[in-house]
Amino acid sequence: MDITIKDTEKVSPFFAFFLIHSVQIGVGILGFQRAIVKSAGYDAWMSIILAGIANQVILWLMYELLKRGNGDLIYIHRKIFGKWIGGFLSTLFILYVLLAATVFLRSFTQVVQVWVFPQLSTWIFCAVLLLLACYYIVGGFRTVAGLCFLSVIYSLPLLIVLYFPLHYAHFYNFFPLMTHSPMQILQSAKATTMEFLGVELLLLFYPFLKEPDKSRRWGHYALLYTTIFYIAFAIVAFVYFTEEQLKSTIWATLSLWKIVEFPIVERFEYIGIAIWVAVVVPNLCICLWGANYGMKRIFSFKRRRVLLILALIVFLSCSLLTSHPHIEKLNVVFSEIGFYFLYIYIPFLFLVQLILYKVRGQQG
Amino acid sequence: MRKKGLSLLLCIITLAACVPPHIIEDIQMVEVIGYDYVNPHIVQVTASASTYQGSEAGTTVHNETLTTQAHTSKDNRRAMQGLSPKPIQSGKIKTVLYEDKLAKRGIFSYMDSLNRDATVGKLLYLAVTDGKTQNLLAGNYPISTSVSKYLSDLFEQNMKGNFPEVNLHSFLYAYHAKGMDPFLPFIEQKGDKIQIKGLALFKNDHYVDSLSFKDCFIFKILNEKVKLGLYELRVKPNQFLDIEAIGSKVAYHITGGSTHPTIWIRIKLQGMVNEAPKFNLQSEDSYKRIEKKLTQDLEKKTQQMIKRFQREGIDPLGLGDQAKSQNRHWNEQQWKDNYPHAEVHVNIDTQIKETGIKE
Amino acid sequence: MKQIKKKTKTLSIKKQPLNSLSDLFNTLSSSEDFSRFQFDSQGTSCWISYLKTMVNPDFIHQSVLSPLSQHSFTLLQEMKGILPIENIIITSNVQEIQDSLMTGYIFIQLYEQDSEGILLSGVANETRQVSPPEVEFSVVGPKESFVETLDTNINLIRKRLPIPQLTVKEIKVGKLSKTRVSILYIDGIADQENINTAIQRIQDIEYDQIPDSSFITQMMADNSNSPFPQVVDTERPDRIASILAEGKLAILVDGSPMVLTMPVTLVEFFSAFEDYFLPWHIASIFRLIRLGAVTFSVTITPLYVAVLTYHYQMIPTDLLATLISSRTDIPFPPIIEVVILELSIELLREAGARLPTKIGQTIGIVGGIVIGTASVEAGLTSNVLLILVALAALASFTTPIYQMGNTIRLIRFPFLFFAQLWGIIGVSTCFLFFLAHLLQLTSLGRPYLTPVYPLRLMDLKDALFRLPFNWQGKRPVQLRTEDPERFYSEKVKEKKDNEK
Repeated sequence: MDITIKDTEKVSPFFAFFLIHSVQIGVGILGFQRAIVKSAGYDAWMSIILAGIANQVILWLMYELLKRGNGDLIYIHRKIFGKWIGGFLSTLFILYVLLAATVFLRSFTQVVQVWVFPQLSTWIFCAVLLLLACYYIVGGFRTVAGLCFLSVIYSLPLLIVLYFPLHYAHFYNFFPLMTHSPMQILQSAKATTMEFLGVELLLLFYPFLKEPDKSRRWGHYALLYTTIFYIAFAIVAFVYFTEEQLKSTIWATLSLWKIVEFPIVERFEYIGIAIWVAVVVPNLCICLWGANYGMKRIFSFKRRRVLLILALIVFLSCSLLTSHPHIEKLNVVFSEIGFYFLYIYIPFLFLVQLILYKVRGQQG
Repeated sequence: MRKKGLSLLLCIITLAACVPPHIIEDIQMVEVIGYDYVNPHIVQVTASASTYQGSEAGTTVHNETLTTQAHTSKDNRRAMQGLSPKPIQSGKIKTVLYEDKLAKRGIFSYMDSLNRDATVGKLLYLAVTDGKTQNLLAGNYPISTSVSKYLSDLFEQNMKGNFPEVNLHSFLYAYHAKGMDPFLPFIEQKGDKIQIKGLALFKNDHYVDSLSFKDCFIFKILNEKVKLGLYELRVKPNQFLDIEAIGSKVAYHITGGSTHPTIWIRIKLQGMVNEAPKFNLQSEDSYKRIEKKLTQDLEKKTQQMIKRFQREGIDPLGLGDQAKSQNRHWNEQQWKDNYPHAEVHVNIDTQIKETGIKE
Repeated sequence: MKQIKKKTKTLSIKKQPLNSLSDLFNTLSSSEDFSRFQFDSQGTSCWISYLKTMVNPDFIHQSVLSPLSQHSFTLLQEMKGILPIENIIITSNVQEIQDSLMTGYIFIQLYEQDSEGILLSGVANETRQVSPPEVEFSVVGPKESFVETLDTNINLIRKRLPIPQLTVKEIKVGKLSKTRVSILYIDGIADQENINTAIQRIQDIEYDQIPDSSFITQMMADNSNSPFPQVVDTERPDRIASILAEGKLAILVDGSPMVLTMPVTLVEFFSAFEDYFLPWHIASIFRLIRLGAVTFSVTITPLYVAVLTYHYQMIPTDLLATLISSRTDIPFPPIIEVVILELSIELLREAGARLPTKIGQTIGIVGGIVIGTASVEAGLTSNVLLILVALAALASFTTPIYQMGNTIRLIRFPFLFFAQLWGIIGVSTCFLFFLAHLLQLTSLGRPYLTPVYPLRLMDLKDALFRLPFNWQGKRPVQLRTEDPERFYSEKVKEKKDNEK
């Protein structure tokens, strides 16, 4: 690696679990059931498993890539493609990360606007959340990692709440199994990739892990936990709704929460959305941090100034997206780019690096 | 410089980020809505809201109803705002009623607004009324504090007992599912009380038939697990036993796909004798005799009920949905054609556990 | 770790520079309590100077004048042998003579114009007796608390830790007050980095008068803008002894009965020392109750505002009647109502704290009960809210450390602001803002949220709960002590009953 990172900024490898998991769980989980049921119907749980396995493979490739490259993605790009092309590719990646931040923030704002406050002005909500994210980033990577850790713990009750809709469950909804062709299941798996996006941020924060090799198994556990999370939410949605019903429900998870009732409080979805703020903000933080750090690495800009500019870019993009179809379109674009990046570019990079190193000889 | 920027930001946030409040005493919380038929294009909506008056003695609750007519449900709401001193909010709607005349023409179009509105909950009770909902909602019911509480408590406690469980979600589930038809409670106003008359059966979203309240138990054991229920068993022309069901399970098995389906239903019922006025329960085989009689009786009644459903072409038990999960290549249209001719076998396994504290 | 230097202008005392003895005596002679006289005995004389108010008169008579009058002397050395007092210094350093004279030393010269003389200590300080603690009172356990005299305090600590490794480092802080500040630590257990940082920070303090240890707290804090205290101050010697044994530092300030300890974490502010005197399960439950009470105190009124203003759907139908009827006659929206009540409670608190004890109790009853009931009946506030606000205020006093109680009362207000802004989502956002602040906060350079983040599972056993002593064999990992074993578990033997 061409720069060294101080030990005081690094985190222990155990936190790779929380970092990876919290970036993946974002707004997607609130309404992903509809997207995956489109092609594969109620066999879509198999698509989730497939997507999970594919992701594990990609994660393994990423770790190999990073280990051999001995640095983050920017360093690897520089080494393989040279300064200019490498810088260009890295900038593209940074733009992709910024897009991710925009998508996460805008989708969540949309959820709040539809479910809680219809008159909430987009720009002010985005501005405050971006300010919050900047406050975290200013504290360094350790603060961001701390936030991820605490948000995963803070959002554990949401899994427990899944128990309540089971009262109305029709478990036979799954049967008969495999009524859809493998092609349809694969299509659903592709649709699921958006939910697993986020693992590529590892390419940026890899040098911030102490003993990165030890963090490998935590990374894989994180993916496993994410997969289980998604399967749990999918299964509960499948047994609660019928297929036609689910296809017309935009945010299935939130509709599930509508029926949860406690003696003190009736409509759980408001509490759920409030807890969800603490799940979305880490996503935003890591993406912005990644973009900020990446910019500093590529262009050696001053960190704080760039952070402000990046936050401004995200803020403007969020404010410009005003209607539901626009946001849907952006989600689709983001999902496609992410899919191609993860499943095509990463293996490609891996192979290129492998060949290059075999040709050049082992260089550190 | 930084501090100035922060305080400026704080001011902006305070002023710009405000969201319209719904302070609880400043809104009119509608709790029950009733839809009545006027003519094919116009629907009459009655909203029942409670007003709370705090006083020295405690809280007194009054019911108020607002009635308007318009083309759609939400347009009615607009009209209602013109009647109400406080803004109408639908977040606390607990029950929705439909007049039977309206229900016969189909109610799904009126459910759209309930489904789409994020402030409305999902655990609503729906019901069909015998007669105009306006009259029912405007009535005075001293047995409970308000109409909405009366209705929701009525449904809640009955659904724990003899009445099958049904709410907005189960209605929508049954409506959307292929091979399943919804059902709703059927109520009527009786003086100063509201009575559950029975079960209203739907074909898609049209009300077609109803079961009496007494038959609801039979329906319930066919439909779902029963934890508590009461059933009157006729042993001889003038001898009746009362059985309390303390647990039942039901399983469906449908063979033959959608081409020539055969339906097998297995019910396991456990009960205890609640009332046996002229009976001698001391003999050894009295339990067995009761069980046998109960089995025969229930099997006959359940067969009759299902045959009735088949005749009318409705499937409130969701047998089609079950069939879909048990057979590949299930076809909805085929099922609809062949369901009325399907063979039905009901097998009931009863067990009388106790007879109370007296023999 | 950050080394904080306070940039204050160096104080200059606008007087003549006191660089000679005569200047010193001239300045002092304008005070009535300065006594300088010639003492004759056995044909020789000497000049004795001291501050009457700082020296015990009996001491002068018995230990100084009496021996001097019985012997004759020509040299200072001889005087040193005559006087039965320990630690006599012969010096001509004007600064030293000045410092010592001001703190109660007696200066004896052979001749009036001598520049050299004897300094001996005759300090008679007015000091309070050791009394039970007021803030951290415990029902069971020792009831000694610190007093204002530094030496007495060190005595109280030393008798609980009679080992030579207990080191005391003294620094004088304050241009005018010249307060003695002592740093205590156990050499070999406490981390050297912590010690160095603490000493360096205290040495860098530039101020004129230090009346209390809380001044030191604020001046050497990592982040003086934070509402969260970064130092635990305590008045119990047993707690300090226990803390020193863990590997932390204690800072004693002359003139203050509160002793500072650092580095600290957030969870320590919720542990009362009494927890260690109770069985571990009971103590753990009390700790959890305390944490629950604090969370309740901070969030309940914002949640009231949020739910009643925006989220009426969340209220269970049965509760709705109570809430609506309690609010029907009230002319203000919930936020104004809450702010009025909160400010009234703060008013009551402040007034109660300033009033003399005799009137204080009456006003407490009058204010609390009468005003509260009357305002409900007049229809200015709702009774439900009154209960909540009173409970919240009560719950905020469950923290054993006074500084944290103040913090809790204060951070409720941002939560209220956000609750009014965005309801329950605002409460969540505000919580995240505070979390960001806490994650970045350090105490003596160590992260504030240990052991929750960075996660130290070993340290959790004394953080949120208090697990039995035989599970606490290791000192907290966060302190990076040099000697992590508290006791050797192999040596712990099974409790033996009487041999049968």
